[in-house]
Amino acid sequence: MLMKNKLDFSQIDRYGITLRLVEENDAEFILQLRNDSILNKHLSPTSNIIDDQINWILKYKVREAKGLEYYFITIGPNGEKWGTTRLSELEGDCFELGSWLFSKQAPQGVSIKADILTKEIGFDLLNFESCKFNVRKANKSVLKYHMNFRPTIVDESEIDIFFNLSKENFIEAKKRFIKIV
Amino acid sequence: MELNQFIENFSNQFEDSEIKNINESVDFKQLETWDSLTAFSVQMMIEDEYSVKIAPEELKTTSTVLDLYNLVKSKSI
Repeated sequence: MLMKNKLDFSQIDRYGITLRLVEENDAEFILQLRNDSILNKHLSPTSNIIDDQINWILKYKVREAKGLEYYFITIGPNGEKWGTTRLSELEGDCFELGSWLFSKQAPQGVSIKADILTKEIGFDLLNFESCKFNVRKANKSVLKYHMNFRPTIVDESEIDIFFNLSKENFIEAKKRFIKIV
Repeated sequence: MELNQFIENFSNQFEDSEIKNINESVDFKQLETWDSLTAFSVQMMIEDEYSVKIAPEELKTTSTVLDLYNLVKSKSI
C-alpha cells in the first residue's frame, strides 16, 4: 500500500543541484553548519557532540521511513555538500519548511535553488496546498527574501514571525525567481 | 532611468532602517547586512522595475550603487 506523503526517490536533480536524503554520515557536515558562529546566529543551540547528531539522524530516519519528515542535503556536481533543507509536520494540506542552512562555500544562488526545489517537493510531489515557516525578526535578509513569495503572516512572537505560503503564490513567485538564479 | 529613484529602489531591498540612507558612492558589498539573499532581492528589483536581468557574475563586477546603476542603464538601452 502506498503510504501518504511517501517520496519514491532518495535524491532529485534540478537547477544544477542535487537534493538527497540525509544519511548518518552527514552528521559531521550538519554539525559544522549548525555550529558556525555566523550561520547559527538565528538558530536554536545544537549539541556539538557528533554522537548526538548521529542519534538524531537515526531517529529522523524512522520518521522519514514513515513519510513524516524529509531532511535533505544539497550537493554540487562533484559531490560537495553545500547545505540543508527540511520538510516536516506533513499533516493535512500543509507542510513545514525549515533547516535552511548553507555553507559559505556554496556558490551564490544555490541556497535559493534548494529552497525552490524543496518547496517543489512539498507542493508538486507530495501535493500539499500550503507551507508554513517561521523566521527570526532579526534575520532581516531572510525575511526580505521570503516576502518576495508574498506569504501571509499568521502569527508573531517576540522573536519570530510565522508565515503561511500558498501553492498558488509559490508558483507565481517561482516564475520570477527562476529567471534570475 | 533616474538615479535617485534607482537608489531608493535599491535601499528598499534592505529591511534594516540603518541602511536606508544609502547614496550612490556606497560600496554596498561592504555593508554588514549585504549577503547573497540581499543580492537576490536586488536582482529581483532590477528585473521587476527595469526589465533588465543582472547575472550574479555581473553583480560581482560592481562596487558602488552608481556602478550598478550604470550597468543597469547600459543594459536597458
